[in-house]
Formats: sequence, C-alpha cells, structure tokens
Amino acid sequence: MSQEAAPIRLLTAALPSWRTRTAAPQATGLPTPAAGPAGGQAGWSAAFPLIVLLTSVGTLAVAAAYAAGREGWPYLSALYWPGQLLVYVPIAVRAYSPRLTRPAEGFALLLLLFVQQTLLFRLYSPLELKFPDELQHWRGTVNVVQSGTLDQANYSLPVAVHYPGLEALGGAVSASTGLSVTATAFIVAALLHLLLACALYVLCLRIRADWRVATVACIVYAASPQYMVFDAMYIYQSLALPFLLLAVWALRVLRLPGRAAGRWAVLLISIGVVTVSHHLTSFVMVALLGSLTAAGLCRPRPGRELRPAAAWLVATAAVLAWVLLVARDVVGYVDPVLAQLGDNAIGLLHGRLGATAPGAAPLAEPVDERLATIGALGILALLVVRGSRGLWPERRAEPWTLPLIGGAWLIFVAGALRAVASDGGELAGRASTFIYIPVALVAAITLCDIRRRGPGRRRRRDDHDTGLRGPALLGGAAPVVVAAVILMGGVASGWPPVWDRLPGPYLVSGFERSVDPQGLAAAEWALGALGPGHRWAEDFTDNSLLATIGDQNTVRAVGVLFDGKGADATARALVQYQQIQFLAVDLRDSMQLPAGGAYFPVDPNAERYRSPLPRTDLDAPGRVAGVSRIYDSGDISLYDLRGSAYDG
Amino acid sequence: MTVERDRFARLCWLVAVVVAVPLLGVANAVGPRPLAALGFAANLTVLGVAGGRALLGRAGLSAVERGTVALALPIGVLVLGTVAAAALRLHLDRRLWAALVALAAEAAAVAVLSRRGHPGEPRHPPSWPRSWRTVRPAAGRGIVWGASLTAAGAVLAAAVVLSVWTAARQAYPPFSALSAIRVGSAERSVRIELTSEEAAPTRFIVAVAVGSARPDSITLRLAPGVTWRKTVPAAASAPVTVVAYRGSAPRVPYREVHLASGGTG
Repeated sequence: MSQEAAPIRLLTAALPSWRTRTAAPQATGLPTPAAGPAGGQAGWSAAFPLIVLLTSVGTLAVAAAYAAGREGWPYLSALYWPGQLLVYVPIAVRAYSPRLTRPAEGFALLLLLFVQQTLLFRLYSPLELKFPDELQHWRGTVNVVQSGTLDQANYSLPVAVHYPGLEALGGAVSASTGLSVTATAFIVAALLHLLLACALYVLCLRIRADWRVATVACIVYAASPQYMVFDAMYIYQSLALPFLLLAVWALRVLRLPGRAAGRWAVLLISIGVVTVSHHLTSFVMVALLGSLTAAGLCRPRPGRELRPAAAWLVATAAVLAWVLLVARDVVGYVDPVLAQLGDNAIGLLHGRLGATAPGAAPLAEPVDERLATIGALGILALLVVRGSRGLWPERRAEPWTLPLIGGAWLIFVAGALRAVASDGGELAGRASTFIYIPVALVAAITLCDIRRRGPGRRRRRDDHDTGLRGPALLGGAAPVVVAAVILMGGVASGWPPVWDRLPGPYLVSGFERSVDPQGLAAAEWALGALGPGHRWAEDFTDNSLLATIGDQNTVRAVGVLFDGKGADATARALVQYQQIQFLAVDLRDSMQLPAGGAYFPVDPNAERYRSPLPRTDLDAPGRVAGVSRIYDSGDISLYDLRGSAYDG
Repeated sequence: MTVERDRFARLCWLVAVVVAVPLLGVANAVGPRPLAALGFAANLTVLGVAGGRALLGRAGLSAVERGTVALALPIGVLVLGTVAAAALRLHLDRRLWAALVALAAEAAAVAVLSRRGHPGEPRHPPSWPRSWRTVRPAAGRGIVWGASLTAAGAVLAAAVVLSVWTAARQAYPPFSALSAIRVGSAERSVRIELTSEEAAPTRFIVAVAVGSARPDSITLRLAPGVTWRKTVPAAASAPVTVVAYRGSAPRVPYREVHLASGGTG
C-alpha cells in the first residue's frame, strides 16, 4: 500500500507502535521514525530549513510592524500582513505538498508554526501582560502565591476562584522556581499552547490514522480565529482545552489492547483538570462525550461501544458535582450570555439581524478583512460539505463519524451567529475554539483527499508533453491562495480587532491599548495606599486595571455617576446600593470615542456614542459636597465618596 | 528488543532516578532558588516521562503521543494535587508543591522499575545514531541546513530584540501623580505623595494648606521614577488642600488634591 493510500479506520484498532510497525511502516499512515522515500535512510531535504528561515523573516516583519506601531513609523506597519502570511503560508503549503513524505517533518512543521505564532503573540507585549483576560489570571495567581490558598477573592473575575486550575499551576511554578508571576504566565501559557498543538495532533492521528491528515488539520486549526491570540493567553480556557482533547484521545486509545487501567487514569486526570479549570470547556466536554456515547450506543449490539458512556457518566457527575458544590456562581456568570442569545433570538423573530439589532456593533472592519473572513468561512464550509459527503459512508463502520460530521457542520452555526447575534463576531469567535476542531479535521481529510486525487499530480508528469503549464501553475497557486485566505480570515475575525492589532498610543476603552503607565500607576497606588477590596466605580479601562493590578472590588454598571448630574437621586441610590466607596475618573474619556464601543464595563449606550463624554460631566464628581480628590495624575483622578453627598 | 532510545530500560538509570528524586525534592523545597528550580523541573520531567510510561507503557503509542502525555501528566498532577491540597486546607507553598511533585515522581519511577521486563517493556538501551537518522539532513545538504538555521536564529533574535527594545522605550506622555490620604489613629495626619514620571528631573513646589491656615510650601526636585513622601498633622475635621506646581510654570497648579473635612479620605 502506498503512503498516499486511504486511511484505515481504527475499528478495533490496534495501532502498532513505532517499534512494531517497522515491518510495514506505511500500513496505517502513522508516523515511523525512519519513514521516508528511501526507506528512511536518506535525510531531510533542504526545504525544512528554508521554511524555518522564511517563517522567521515573517516573524521579523510582524515584529517590525509592532515596533512601527509603538514608534509611530508609518510605513513599516504595512509589514503586518505580509509577515503573518510568510509565517503561515509556507508551512501550510509544505504540509499540503506531496513532497512532504516524512511524518517527523510534518510534526516539525507544526512545532515550527507553534514557535513562530507564540512569538508573534508575545512580541506584541514582550515585557508585561497587557491583555485584560491575562491580567485577571495574573491577579488570581498572585493571590495564590501570596495567600497560600485557592479561595482568595479575585475581584476581576470572581468565577475564576471556583475554577482554580490555572492559578494552581501558575502558583506552583512561580513559588517553586522563584520566577515572577508575569514570567511564569509567559512560560505556562507557551507550554499549554504547545500541549494544545500536540494534543490536537495525536487526537487527529488516532481518529484518522493518517499523519498527513493530522498535520494538515493542526495547520488549519492554527488559522482559526482564536488560536493565535486568545487560546495562547494565560487564561483558564488555555489549560482546559488541551485536556479536553487529551480526554477524547485517552478514550480513543482505550480501544487498544492492554493497559486499560493506565488509559482510564489518563482519561480521569484529563476530565478532572477540565472540570476544575474552565466552566465552558467542562460543559463542552460533557456534550462531546455525550455525543460520542450516543454514537457508540446507536450501533448494533456486537459493535456497541460502552466506554464512551462510562466516560460521559464520569464527566457529567464530576461537572455536576463541581457546579453544585463548588462553582455555584457559574450560573450567574453565564446567565447574561444566555440572556443575550435569547434576546438575539427574539430580535431575529422580529426581523432584526446582526448589525441592525439594538446594541449591535457597527461593521467597522475594512472591506478586505470582511471579505477574507467570509472567504475563509466559505472555503472551510465547502471543505466540510465535501468532506462530510466522503465520510458519510463510513458512519456505520466508525461510530465517531457522525459526531465528527455534526461537529464540523457547526461551522454554519458560527457563521449564522456572526450574522444574527448583535455581538455575533465575539460569540462566533469564542465558539470557534471548539467548533474548529472537527472543522479542521474534516477540512484536512478533504484537502488530503483532493491532493491525492487532484489533477495536479497527474499534470506534473504531463506538463512537458501537453503544454499545460499554465493550468499547472494555477493549480500550484491554489494551495497558496487558500492558505492565505484561511489565515487572513482567521486573523481578521479573531482577536485583536483591527484598531488593536498593533501596539501603539493610548486608546480609550482599547483593551491592551489602554494599558499605559498612568493607568498602572493609579491602580498600583490604590492597592498600596488603600489596601485591597474597596468598592470602586470607574470606566472600562480603570475597571480592568483596578480589579487586577489594584486588587479592588469594582462595580461594572456605573454610567450614572458619569452623567454630570452629580449626587442626584439615581447616583446616590447606586452608590448606596452597591456600597461604592471610591470613584476613578479618566479625563481622556472626554477626548476620544471608546475604541471598544463602550465607556463602561456595562454600558447601555455602547456603540451609540457619537461624541466623547463631556469634560464637565467628568469634572462633576469633584464638585459634589464632601467628595475628596485623593489622587491626581493629570488625566486620572481618584475620588473618595465616603461621607459625601453621594453617601448621605 | 527495541531499537529506540530508552534510558529507562537500563536498571542503573532507574535506580539512579529513584534515588535522585527525593534529593531533588529536598533541593526544591529548601534549596536556594536556582537549585530549587532545577529540582522542580527535574522532578516534573521524571513525573512526566516515568508517569506516562507507568500508565501507558510504550507499546501501541507513537513518540509524539508519549511526549504529549509526558507534558500533560505533570500539569495534571500539579493542578489536581493543588486543588486537593487546598480542599484539605493545607497551606500552598513551595514545600508543599515540592513534596507533591517528588512523591508523584517517585511513585512513577518506582512503578516503572517494578514493571521492568514485563511484556511490552524494552530491556535494552537503544542505539542513539539510529534515532538521529530520522532528523539528519540529506547528504550534501548540511551546509544549506546550517546556514539556513543559523540565519533563521539570527532573524528571530533580531525580532525579539527589536520588540523588547521598542517596548521598553515606548513613549507615553510624561506625568506626575499627587496624592493625599488621611492616616494614623483617628486619622490625625495626612500622608502626601508626589511621584514623578516626567521625562527629566523636574522641580516641584508643593503647597499644603490645612484648614484655613496659610499654606506651607516645599520645593523639591525629583528624578523620573522617584516618589517624595511627607506626612503632615491635620485633624480629621480640617479640610486639606495640596497643590503641586511644576518648575516651568510655578503659578499654574499642575496637580491638586483635597480632602474634605470630616471625610475619611
């Protein structure tokens, strides 16, 4: 059987180890240590080091664009997209190429992509954590290291106290090595991202038993909207996600003969880590194992699979027990998201779609990025449809086929969310972390099938005879174009948004672009001078910095304190009900519109501002009787409301 | 017989690991920082490699799968072990984590030792050159490999240096922060702080007015990043106003804070 042969499903599935596979190394398409065109005796070609060089140049180009953003160099910032493409496209094209004949080189390409993308992410802010989600877990980890417990309140993300997996890991590494929590976060996040890449690879390898499919699937997934930034962050989902994949992998290897106890142990450890680390991933785990259970039980009796059912029961019991006994507040945490989805559904019934829905974000992306997003979705959707048609006949032989197809078809749900929900872009992006796993695998199966059957291979032999060089060149360009569109679509629809893609000067409500020395100084002063845990009202950026760096107990819905009416009845009621003690005012809110669309964490006027907040409104609290201005750094003023007219 | 590289197949290696793990744990728990970090990393490695071997063996798994498990297992043990320790109300510190990792690593190493020679477990050490053949360059391509990888390393280093350099010197508007809060028993004094984050050493005049008394002025010069602190007596019933003037514009208030009378600020 040739290397290109169709993959063999793992029905009862003894996957031979490298050692035992040496007799028939290509029979399953699994990696062998010395597999190659010359029976493993020839070394690697020069393509790999040249790709390493090319992708490194791409990383340098993006680093130059970042530097241009910081320094205000106008032209170098244009290097961002060429750099991104230089990192991704050569690796993707090589992985797709029939010249790639060594599984080790395929895996090396994945590691190379991991290294380059990790650098691309970290070079945005190489000296400090700036992404708000990372700062939340930085605070949680600092709390663990300082208090020696896992239950100290994290005001920036209260629910994270009940999902302490990442903080436990970060605290252990920081305390044991003496590294700062920031350095620990950099290292732990990189290791978890590496684990995610490896876990996805081994899972795809087990499901399809074809190293080419596994390699291409990982590369397709690496262009998904959240993979490059959000899933590379020091956040709790980054810990849970690889263990979700490992749980499914362990379930898969339970089909192998022998050592069932050890595999169950790996499965249980994975379920445990997911359960205590991230709410949404734990719910996805229950749903995923449930779908595998249903698929296994729906088969005729001789081939019926009971292991997924046992794993699903364990996972469900663990997640339920954790939610009911420990993380009871998770319902309140996810409730607003569910309510918003409900509102969107009601809006849809009334004919309000996406950007026309109340509170919807305007379509601010450049046209080319929107086109890339649509193009990437379209390409992946086509690949999913074609791949599903190819996989459909296998549904009886392989019980995981239907869940795989069903998961991949969720790409249409993601596309619909983007169109229907008022913040559909964010919801679709968050969902893409999970949805793109089956999407990437089905797309990779299709791509490898196209490459196997495609005319390109036959044409190559006939080029000189038939004069079909033009079409051959076109065919050769297709993988480049497809890879470029998929990557651009992923970057354009992921985080950061276009105005935040390069570092640069301060932006109001600009997430990482709002983290500047003045805001950090105010937050640090609040913690040092006042101590932790005071109740604060503040704008969007100060909410993030005071709750994380400042360890303050911030209130999110505070717009009425910034309406210029001083201590009127509404403001007094809010201050007294929420027990607000201090107020942070940033005068820069009167100079710019909010980049993220909202001035406050909970802002009923989000996306509706046509002019910045009036300066007089921001000065108003300082004129209220009994209010003390305790801190002034020019733009940022901190007020003490205790004993004032607000409080009385 | 195996052809793969497998240090754990050697009895002397296994015994050495079993002996070394507790010592590394002690170094991790009480040793100086670099040694502690080394002990922590070494025991995590043993836990990953030996734990993966003890749980899954080698037969049927590819090297990538074994490597993935070796990476995941220490993380899983650290996470679940820490959560369990916290549930038992143990104080989470370096010693606890050192003990947790050392115990788990020792258990894994002993498990591998006890299973040595079982079916599916290799008994003989591998030949390293055989492994190397899987990643060596093709004949005659060594120079291309060396030059390309060296150039790539240099390019990546340049990318890192460029990013770190520009991030460290990113220009933000200079500022100075003035603050005042009541401190002490019954809040009978006020602590004033002035932090300069100006671009250069700057002269400030700080005027402090307590109640209706004539303001006291203090002249000072602060280098960037330096904080000046002063505590002045002030009854809680007396309002306090502190104004900082900058040297270049001594008549225009540059920063101003005030504490209301009777307030708790």
